[in-house]
Amino acid sequence: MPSLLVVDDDNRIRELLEFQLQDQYDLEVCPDGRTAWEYLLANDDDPPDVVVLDVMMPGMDGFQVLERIENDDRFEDVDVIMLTARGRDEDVVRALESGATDFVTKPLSSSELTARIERTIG
Amino acid sequence: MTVPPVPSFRLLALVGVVVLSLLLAVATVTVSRSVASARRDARQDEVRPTVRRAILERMSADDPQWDTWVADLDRTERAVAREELREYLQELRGRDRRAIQRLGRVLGVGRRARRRLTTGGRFERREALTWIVLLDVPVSVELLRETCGDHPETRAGAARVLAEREYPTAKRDGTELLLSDQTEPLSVLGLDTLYELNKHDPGLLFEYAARAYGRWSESLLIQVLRVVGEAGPTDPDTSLEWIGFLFAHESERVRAAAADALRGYGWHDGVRATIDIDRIRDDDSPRVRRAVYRMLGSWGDQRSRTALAESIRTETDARAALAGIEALANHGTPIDDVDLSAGNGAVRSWVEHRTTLADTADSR
Repeated sequence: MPSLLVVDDDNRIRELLEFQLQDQYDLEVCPDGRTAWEYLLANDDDPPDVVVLDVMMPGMDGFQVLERIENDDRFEDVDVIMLTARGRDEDVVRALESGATDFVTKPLSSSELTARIERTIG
Repeated sequence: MTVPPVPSFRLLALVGVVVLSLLLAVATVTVSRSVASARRDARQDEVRPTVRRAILERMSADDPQWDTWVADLDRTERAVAREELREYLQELRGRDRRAIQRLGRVLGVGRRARRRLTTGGRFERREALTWIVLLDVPVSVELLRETCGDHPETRAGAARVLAEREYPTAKRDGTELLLSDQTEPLSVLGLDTLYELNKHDPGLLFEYAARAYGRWSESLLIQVLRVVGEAGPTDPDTSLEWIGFLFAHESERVRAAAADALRGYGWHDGVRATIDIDRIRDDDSPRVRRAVYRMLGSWGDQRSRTALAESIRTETDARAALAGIEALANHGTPIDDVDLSAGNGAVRSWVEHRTTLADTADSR
């Protein structure tokens, strides 16, 4: 079963994605960027296949986590899908330029996110 | 000499008892309401995880059977379901959103919103408009016009409904609704909605403004000019003459806003032909001159650049001179040999500093 890490500070979104994705993936959820990065460091021998990463989070935001993932050889096989706010085209460009595999805009469509995760995993 | 009457002890005691009783009554009511509110919140917190879980389970089901579920909810659970519904509607789209919109209909939220639109006060109507957008409740333009035309906030909410729902006549009806009151400025939502409605093609806004701008208040006029300045290019045949007239307006804020609005319209033959550059760059107000310099810099054609360089030479206001120099520099005109008036030493220093920086960058 592919493994997935969902990082979002919105409790409702975390619950929704956890509920909808837990049967298809080996799923872990984190409420902020720092916790997610600590999780990745603690599991660097077996990192998740895909990280779904919200851009806007307090403390360490999604871009900072993405940058650390991209600059660390231990996570070179990890794909990142960014969650960006609708209308924030500059965030989409920045995410893709920084190495994100794909992006999904908020408000969120869980079926679209699932399709993009599937495509990313191949 | 008359001695003022001394209130009797009995009267003072009576007043004291009345005041004390009133204070006690107020305290009792306040404490009772707080206790009731705390109990309600505690009960809502208690049932929230269960309600949220039930919503999640049903949201992804082929047949969520909302009717059966809602029928079994008590009053507190229904209130929590409505709160959760609102949050999810703001965060979801696509299939998830459509599924949960059906819950809104079963809970009767849409019906209540329509009713409140016709019977509620201003805040209730604003709340109703939010639900109408979230639940895609069908409402006619006529109903929105009848029920929401009395205040800038409700007009903005109604126009937003039209914009979000992409009504065929949204641009015309929404713009008219927003600008129907010619004295009060638009609310923040109203200003954003006017932009959303007209951002891709402001031609209709130009037509409307050309007919009505003379009756608008200063604040409304400035707001519309701001939208005009931010919106995309209009049809080249659209007349912008009315903006040209505003350079003669008594308010310097309006004159400056007119110049800012036209920064993106240097390509428009009609604008360049009708605006008297020599007159507006001699405006008495430094604020207006700053805006005019920015406008000329944005236009960037030879005539504008020449006029700008001439103005800077005689400009006596340091901030206006700086704005002019920056406008020239931002469009690639060399500024090191621009002649400045004697009174603008600080600006000259800045120009020299900038020239040094440019030379350093070139030599690398």
